[in-house]
Amino acid sequence: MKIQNILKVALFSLVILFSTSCSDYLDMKPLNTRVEENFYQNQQDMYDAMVAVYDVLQWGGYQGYIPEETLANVASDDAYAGGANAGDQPAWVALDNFSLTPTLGPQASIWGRYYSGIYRANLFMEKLPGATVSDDFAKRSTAEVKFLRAFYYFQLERWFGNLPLILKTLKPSEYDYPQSAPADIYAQIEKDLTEAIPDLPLTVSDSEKGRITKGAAESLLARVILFENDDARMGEVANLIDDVVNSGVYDLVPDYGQIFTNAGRNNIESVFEIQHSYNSKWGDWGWLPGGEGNIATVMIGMRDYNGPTFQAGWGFSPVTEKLANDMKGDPRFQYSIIDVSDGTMDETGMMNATLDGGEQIKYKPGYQNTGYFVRKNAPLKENVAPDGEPMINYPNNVRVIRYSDVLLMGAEAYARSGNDGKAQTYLNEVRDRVGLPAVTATGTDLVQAIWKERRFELAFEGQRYWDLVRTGRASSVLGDRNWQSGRNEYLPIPQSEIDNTNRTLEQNPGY
Amino acid sequence: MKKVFILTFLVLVATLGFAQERNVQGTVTSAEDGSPIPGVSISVKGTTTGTITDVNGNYLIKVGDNATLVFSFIGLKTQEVPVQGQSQINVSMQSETMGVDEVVVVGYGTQKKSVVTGSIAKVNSSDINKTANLRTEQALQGRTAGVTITSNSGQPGAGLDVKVRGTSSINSGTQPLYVVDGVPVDGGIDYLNPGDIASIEVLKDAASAAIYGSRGANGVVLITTKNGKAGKMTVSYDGYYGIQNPWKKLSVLDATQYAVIMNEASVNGGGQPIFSDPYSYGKGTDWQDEVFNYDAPIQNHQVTISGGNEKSKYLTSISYFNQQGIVAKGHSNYERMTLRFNADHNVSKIFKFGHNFGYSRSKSEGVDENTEWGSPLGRALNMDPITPVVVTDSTAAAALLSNYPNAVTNAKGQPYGISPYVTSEIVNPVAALAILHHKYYTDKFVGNLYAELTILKNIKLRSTFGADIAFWGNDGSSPVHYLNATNYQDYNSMTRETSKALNFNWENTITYHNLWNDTHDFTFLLGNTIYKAEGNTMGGSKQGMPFYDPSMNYFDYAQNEESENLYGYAWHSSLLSYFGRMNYSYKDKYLFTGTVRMDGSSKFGPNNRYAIFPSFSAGWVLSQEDFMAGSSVVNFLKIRASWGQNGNQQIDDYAYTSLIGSGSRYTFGVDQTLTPGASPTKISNPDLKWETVEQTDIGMDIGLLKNKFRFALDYYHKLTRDMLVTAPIPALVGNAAPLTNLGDMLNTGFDGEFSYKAKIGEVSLDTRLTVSYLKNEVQKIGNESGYITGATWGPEGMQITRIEEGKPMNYFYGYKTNGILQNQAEADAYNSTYGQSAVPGDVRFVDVNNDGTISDLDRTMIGDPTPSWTYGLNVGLNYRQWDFNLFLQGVTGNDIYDASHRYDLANANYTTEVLDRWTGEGTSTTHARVTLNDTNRNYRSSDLYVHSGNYVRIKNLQIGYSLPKGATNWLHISRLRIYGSAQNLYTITGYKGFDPEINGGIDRGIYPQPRTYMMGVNLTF
Repeated sequence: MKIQNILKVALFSLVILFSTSCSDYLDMKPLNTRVEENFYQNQQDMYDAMVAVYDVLQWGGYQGYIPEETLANVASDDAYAGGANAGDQPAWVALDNFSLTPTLGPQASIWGRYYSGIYRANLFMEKLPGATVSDDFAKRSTAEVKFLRAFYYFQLERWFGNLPLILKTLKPSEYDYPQSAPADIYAQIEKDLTEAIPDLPLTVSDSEKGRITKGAAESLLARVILFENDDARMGEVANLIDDVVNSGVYDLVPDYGQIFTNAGRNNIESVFEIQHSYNSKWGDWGWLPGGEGNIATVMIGMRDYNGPTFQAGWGFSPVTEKLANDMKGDPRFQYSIIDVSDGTMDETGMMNATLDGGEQIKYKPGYQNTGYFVRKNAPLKENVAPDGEPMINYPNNVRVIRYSDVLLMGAEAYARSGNDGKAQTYLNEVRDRVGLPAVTATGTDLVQAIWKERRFELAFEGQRYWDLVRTGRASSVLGDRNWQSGRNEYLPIPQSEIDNTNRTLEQNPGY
Repeated sequence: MKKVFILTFLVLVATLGFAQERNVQGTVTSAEDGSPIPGVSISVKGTTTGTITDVNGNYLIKVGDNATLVFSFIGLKTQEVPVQGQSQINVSMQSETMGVDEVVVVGYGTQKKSVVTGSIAKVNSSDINKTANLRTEQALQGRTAGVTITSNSGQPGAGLDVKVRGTSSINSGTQPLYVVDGVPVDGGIDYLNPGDIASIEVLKDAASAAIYGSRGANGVVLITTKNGKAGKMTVSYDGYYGIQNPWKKLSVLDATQYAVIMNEASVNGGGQPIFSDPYSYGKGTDWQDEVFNYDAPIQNHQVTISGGNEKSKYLTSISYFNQQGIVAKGHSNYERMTLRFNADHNVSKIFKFGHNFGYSRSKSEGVDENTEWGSPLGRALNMDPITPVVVTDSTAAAALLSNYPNAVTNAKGQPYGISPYVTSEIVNPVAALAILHHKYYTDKFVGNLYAELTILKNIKLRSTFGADIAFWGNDGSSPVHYLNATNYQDYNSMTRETSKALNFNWENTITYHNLWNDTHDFTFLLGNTIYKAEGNTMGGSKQGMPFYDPSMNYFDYAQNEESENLYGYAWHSSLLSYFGRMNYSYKDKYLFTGTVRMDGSSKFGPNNRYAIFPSFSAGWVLSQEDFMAGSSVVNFLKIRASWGQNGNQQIDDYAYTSLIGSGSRYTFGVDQTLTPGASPTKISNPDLKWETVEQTDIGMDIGLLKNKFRFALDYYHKLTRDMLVTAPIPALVGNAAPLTNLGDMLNTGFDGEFSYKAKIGEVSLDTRLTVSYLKNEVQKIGNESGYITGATWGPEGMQITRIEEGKPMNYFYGYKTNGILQNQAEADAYNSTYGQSAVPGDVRFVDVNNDGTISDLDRTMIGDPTPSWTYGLNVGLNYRQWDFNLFLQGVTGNDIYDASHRYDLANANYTTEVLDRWTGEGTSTTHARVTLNDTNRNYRSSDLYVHSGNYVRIKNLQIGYSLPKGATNWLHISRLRIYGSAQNLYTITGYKGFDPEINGGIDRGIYPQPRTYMMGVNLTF
């Protein structure tokens, strides 16, 4: 071979070397996950996508600690912020004393959490037509997802008022999404629920407990309409409640004390219940939504508790003396409130107290300590996760709608539409369960009695604050906490959200 | 793709064995010490043919029998040698003036330093060996201007943060590319034995690094390992042994002081005194003494065998390194063994090949450090001194064990003390260490094979195949234990994880070099690289070992099948690159280099998978001009300028797409079944592309007075464009934001290196000073707010750093303060002006934005963690058989944020600085009152936590003595040197924490650098 030939071969191969397209060589697909482009193909994929919409229900610790019902308790006159000190959770303190600002408060976390759920719901509905699924699956899962989207919008609507009403996944050009008026949001919530109701099952099997039922959708719709506080619509509420009652699916548990036990999970009184468990064995503090535990449980526990029954917690949402005093003598007190108010401090700074007039316990008083703690879903030794980080794996379910709430909603709807007899029947069914005498009041006294009953029956279940707001009593009851009409009906829109939409979103009044 | 491989191979094979002319080869050495001189220019007199010697001083040239070879090198006397039929010509060159013009390794080749147009810093093995370096990167600290090396920690085996000319990115990697013997190495270079290194070059400017394209944005560190020399076999031993100690203990409150302060805090907070008799507690426990490991040993041993002949050269080395940490005896240590086989073979006149193989095995144990969530030192500072290490009183011990049956006990069965005062992560540090069992290991093999073929006169073809194979993992176990109310475990558990990775790199280059008429010197380089990385990790955990024994840490021994948890993942990525470079030099006077590289990377979105990175540089050697020739003052003067673009592809794989995460689970059913759910983990961005670093460099190199004085000065302007930021999108979108090319970051600065070499009588002096100035500014973030929250502190997530437009990266963020409110009148005035509820003794925060209230909006820049000046001074002295080396290193212009006190734990211990607290009017203007009810939130992030981070440190002080040559001949020892050295001997700093050398500048209880005294031996047979 001559040098010229060598040169030719070399040049030729160089040309090849430098011109071959090797894009396939650079196409590296992930090896242990699928990507959005090749997912959402079949029924299993869509089932997984539906579960992801449910998932957001249990995010108590999303970008901060925001267990919904505990936050609402702190906002109400039933509990304070608490914690180790005022700096422990400044957002909670700001909510407790209504010193909220656009950058201080729980608003950004709440907002982000529920819009995550809405995104997943919208994505599900967009992907469903392209997937191969059975008609039954499509109908039922769509109804569940609509329920969840309505639930997430309702939570957002109560906290924020003027919301971007987003019903699809957004393109980058649509990120600066304007707000809609509350009336439009409510119309959409009611539409989703109304459409969901006929396609939901009346009951679900044991293995499906936690999935949405028709009763849950009707009860939520009743709660939504009641929250809109229009006396002209009380008939609608009453009809929905009667439908739930007459379905025969639900009943009150005979022993009130059994509701918040492990055996009481998803019992006959449970209409809509958020499911938690310790089975995810979670240990990542950096991403709490990845676990399935109820973060509220450790938060409301006594700090550095030492005793046989409970586990130590962080001392949040100490119960107000006001509620403890009001509720003294009520048979539900002992199942709602931990009373360690006889404590005395020892030289190590620990409170030595008697629990339930028997057990000797010790705990460290936190911020705003009153000696009263929330008992519903408090951290019990028996609920400690055998695996993973115990504090973030408490399996306590959140009772969002109980049958007693359904009955009380029915009572209120009837009372406010002039049917005092029917109202008393529903109210007294709830009172009778705990051995309280029947109420015979009528008119506005009856309505007041129903509201009072709600406060005790549903104590610490996140209802009190919203009852105060929807019935216009917040400014009088929470006035000493700086709650002001015209401002505190809503949280501030998160400042970051206003910034990131190039100021498309408008701040709520008063902030 | 296959085609490419086959054809490239064909080119290599087809050209094998076709040779036309006579070859002459040899080695060029220095007459002074016999060491080989790389970069000597060899030309055939009267022709345009020529070559230069390689790193080992070897050359090969084709000539006619009657030709004459001209050997020339700046600073050395030019020699002419007639060939006269010889095939081996070894030349020994005399120096013309002092100092030898070095050859520097550039990407894919070497260059004489005198004609380099970029900015390249070099460290030789002689510099490296002056200090006992624990890691290779340490050799660069203070010796290379513009390269900032910061220890992450004093923990054995801990990595170093290496930044070339500042931080150029927020979300991509900021560490340079390491190329060892031509092979890019992933995962750091801690596998290298520093004793194996011949030289390190750092490519600082964009033009020098541009040949590495998308991998060059953070600079490139080229490491060349040693090889043998022609001649007789040498066997050498190098070893040292030393002891290490902490150089500083912090003064914290003793038990009595603690009780007094806590009582005062309780009373100030409206409570009762906690301790009825503070003076009954005495001194209490010194937790630092319990946690520090005094006189921790460090040792290194290395045997090197090298030699060769004209055809083949080889080097084999074996080394062992072991370092115990100065914290947590038995739980913080590092052990490394390395093997190296390097060889070069000249098979024929036109064909040579060689290999560099390195294997290393390391084992380590480590403790948490620089964290508020429970590091041994963090605990030692915050733990109350009243709690005993061990409860020795048998009654008290029995009581404790009956309350806490799982309390940790020592070998005597006595329980470790449990604090009733300090809670959360601040547990008894000795107890926590007693149950810590976690070991890490790495096996790593990095090697390359190369072949070089001279196919035509002046045309060389070179192919290098490199592989980097690593296996690493860790295993740990944890017994049943109870440390405090929030730190306990009711079962035995174990974890185990293994990973393996294979990265290969195949590079082919064609070089054409020619010199026309002794004036026009051209080198063209064309090449391509194929790179692929792949690997996977598998791990799991399980509970229920029947009897706890940390050595029986295997899954089959753990019995609780239900607790089994398994995970595993894999990764792969690829790069395909083509590059070219042209060097032109006119009489070594006018210099020009142009480079272009095209890269394709699997890491980027399908819309932007390829990118092109160009660069240009030029130099003018004024000292070659007639008007300067013969100047007795200025021997050498070069000015140079360069411009270029580099890319940064150090980002996660698949960052452009949206992965389906399976963690969106929910619970269904009465059995609480964990039901998998799936959702996209973020919004995708198919437009994702490279960060581009565009850098302009202007510099000069000067040699004065026979090159006794040398200066290299550079100014640079380094702009990162299209910087990847997680574009903050509104939360209403409903999913996490993608990485987006939105940001800009600017680094500007000066690098200067000054050296002075002189021989005064029998004393030879060699000093070098490096100084760098750096200014960093984040220019654009691309979101509406103009900032990104950086580091946070404590359980409430207090923001303490920010990345913000117009400010330096990660500046400290918080309130400004203006003293302490001294009396009620001051407090009233403050409260009424700003709507606060402070009391005397509280901190007076400043209303920075003048809105009449103290709020979050008043937080501002209170410090900058990045030094503006970094410098190093090396002084070397030789007198007869004695040698002396002093190495100082320091930084100025940076701040440290002291986050070592757990402000959220009311009963955490303090340093004795708290004794200066405010206790009444006029008692303090800097330290607030102590209180358990801090309603003014005196603890919030403020300038009270920010301190100057300036320091100067005697990094190394070494004195050696070499036995005279004759003295050891009878033992066949050609060289025997013994030395003593001290590292981190003395540190001048105003900073009050454990150590001012903190990467990132936030001190959450840093693991300090040890002060080490060592003795060592260098022995050559």
